[in-house]
Amino acid sequence: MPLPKRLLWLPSCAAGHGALTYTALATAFSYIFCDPVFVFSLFSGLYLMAWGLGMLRVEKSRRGTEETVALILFHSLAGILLANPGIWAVLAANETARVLLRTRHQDLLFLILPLGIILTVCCGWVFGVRQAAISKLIKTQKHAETQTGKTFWEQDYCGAFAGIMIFAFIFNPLWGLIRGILLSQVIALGVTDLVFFRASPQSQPRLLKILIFLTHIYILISLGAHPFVSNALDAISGF
Amino acid sequence: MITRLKNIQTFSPATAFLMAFCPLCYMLLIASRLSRIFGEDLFVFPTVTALFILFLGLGNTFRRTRAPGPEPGEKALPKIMWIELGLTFLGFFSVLGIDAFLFDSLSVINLEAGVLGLGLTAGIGFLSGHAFALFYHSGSPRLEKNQDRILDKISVLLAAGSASLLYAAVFSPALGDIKTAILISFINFLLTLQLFLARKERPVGRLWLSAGAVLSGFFIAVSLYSDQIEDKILQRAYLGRQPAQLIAKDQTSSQRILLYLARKDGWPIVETQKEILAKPSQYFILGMTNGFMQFSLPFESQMDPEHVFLLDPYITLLPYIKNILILGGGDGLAVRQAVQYKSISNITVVESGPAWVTAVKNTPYLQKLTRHAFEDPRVKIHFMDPLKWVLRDSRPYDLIIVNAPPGGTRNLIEIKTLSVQFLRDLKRLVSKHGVIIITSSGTVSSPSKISVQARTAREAGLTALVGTYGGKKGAWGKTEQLVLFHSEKTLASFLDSYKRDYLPRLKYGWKNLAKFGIITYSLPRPAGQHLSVYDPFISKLPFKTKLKLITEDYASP
Repeated sequence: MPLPKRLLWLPSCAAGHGALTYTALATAFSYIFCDPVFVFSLFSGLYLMAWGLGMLRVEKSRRGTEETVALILFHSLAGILLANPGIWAVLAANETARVLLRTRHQDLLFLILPLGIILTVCCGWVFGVRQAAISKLIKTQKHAETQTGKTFWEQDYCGAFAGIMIFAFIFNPLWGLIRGILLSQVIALGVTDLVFFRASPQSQPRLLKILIFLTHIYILISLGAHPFVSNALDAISGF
Repeated sequence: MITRLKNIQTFSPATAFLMAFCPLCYMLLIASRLSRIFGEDLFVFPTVTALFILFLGLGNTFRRTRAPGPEPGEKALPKIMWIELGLTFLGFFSVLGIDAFLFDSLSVINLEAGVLGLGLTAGIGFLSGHAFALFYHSGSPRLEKNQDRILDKISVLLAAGSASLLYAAVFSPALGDIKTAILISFINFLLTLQLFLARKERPVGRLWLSAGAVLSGFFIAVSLYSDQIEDKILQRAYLGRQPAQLIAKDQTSSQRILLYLARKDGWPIVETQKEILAKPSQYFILGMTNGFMQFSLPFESQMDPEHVFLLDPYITLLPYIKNILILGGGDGLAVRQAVQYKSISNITVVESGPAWVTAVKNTPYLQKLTRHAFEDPRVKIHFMDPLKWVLRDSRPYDLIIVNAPPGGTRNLIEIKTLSVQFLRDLKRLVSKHGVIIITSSGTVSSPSKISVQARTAREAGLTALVGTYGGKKGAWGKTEQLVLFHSEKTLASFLDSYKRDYLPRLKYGWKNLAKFGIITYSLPRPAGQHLSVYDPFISKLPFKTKLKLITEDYASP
């Protein structure tokens, strides 16, 4: 089932979500290590590398349209389930480690940095795969319709620019890290739902249906629980 | 040798690696430099990254729109070479250019440096995108093989990862920004040279070889003198064309300090050290930490308004203050003020590194400026991260001063020093009638922060006031203090004494030198949001309501 024309803005939107998640990750680790220059310098290249490797992985593969749509949906959901709880888990791990090691104001670089790098690389890979799959799908579709060239909304760098700026200047200052990242994942889930229901939900694999159900349950729980998460993190760190 | 260089494969994974590595390093350099200038890293770094990605894409699209088909390798090569030469110069002048824009303007506004930095980022991104489009779409026979194309792409991705790892772990901490910019642009220059020599159009003449040698020599010379260039730029940024003498300089892993002595009348210093010490009223001293101004004071000054207001109102009005803890303050100016009060019996200074204290102890000018404060037997100095010190110490103090360092990562330092956890630790250390003073930036200018900070203090079991100090018109800087008390009763008693005894005296004493005031405010709800480490400065109140939170007078003279 090909994507309808109205969904041709997906590449830009997906790139925006990926870039927004990168900014959220780097911001979270900046809070942990209290050194944004070090964190942003380290994580920018690693995220770009993982993103590119994910894209290369899909470029090499030969999948049909149905399989590509399933791949996009699977990686969108995986990204949501990885980024949001991942950041919360790393923040909780950091505060718990501080309590256990009795080093409340110290940076546990050696413990938390590897976790951060793994999370960043995984997120970069997942969103890279999704990005390449979307581009491939649109390219195939355009080829079938003998269209050439990209519209403004198909330019993934415009989406990436918007994603980074939205998180840095709107989400984080207005709603804070915990709410900001959650809000971005809620929007991403909305877009994924749109694609899912447009692309014949009946024909999708059972695993994907289960995953989409679980993601909805997780997001609903997170929406209710996010004030407790902020308070719990502060409470843990307060001994 | 030239023949050998010519035989090197131009369109290779190594070229792709360097073509990606250098621009990414330039982007990181510009972002780091602008972050240090503006101190708001969480806005600056994402903005620079986003702009770089946007213009990278635009450069790529621009090239593909102009020439959709593949271009022969021989035609593409000179174009890539010129672009790489352009990138070399943009990269070389990235940090130096931003710093040069700070000439004579650092005390006024840094907007020009920011605009230049963003412009450079856009230019570097655009040229890189253009070069990549040329590289991937040149009709080189080698690139027709899919395997090689993937190898090139993997090289580019590895370059992104390596640039980040090397920049964060090696270049930035070991070399600093200027030396890194020079090193990376030199690598970029070597890439350009290799592309130039690989041209098959005509043989390389002696003139071109000489030009290459001169440029290489230029890079080496600038690298050797990069320290002096950086010092000179900072001197020009803060002192303009005023001649000054470098009197102390030190570099540790976390701090880089510079101290200048200059004549007030603008003439060069020709006097000897003995003559200067004998006539201090003709000179002033400028101190800098990590490129930010620490202080700028007349050499003869016995005290300065900023540090007077950090201690005087509290020690004067609360005579039971005996033990003082100063977190930060290695420049000795807070200690200089504290030792003037005979009632003080112990002054504990906790400084993160020895750079400032060593400079103060070893430089005769600074010994005189600080009135040999560190030699006072009441002063005990400890070198340790102040945030860790508060966890280990258990003695009670009557007055605790938290002196945040100037510039850079200001927002996150504020979050840590104004968090519930840190305030609780301070509360454990302060005596029952004691006072905690946290120097802060932008508290009063942002009313939304006041209510959040007050709630944070309440969450930690403290009550708060805000003190502001502004120098007389034309003076640099403005300091704000968050003044914290154990209970509302102590606060009310202090406020009464302040209005009754201190304010009238202030009107006559420091009227012409500085503005000092205390702001009090009430909270509409007894409990609510506090300054969370993870959700900072959240306030859903409308702006008008935020302003109404300031209920009492701004009692400045």
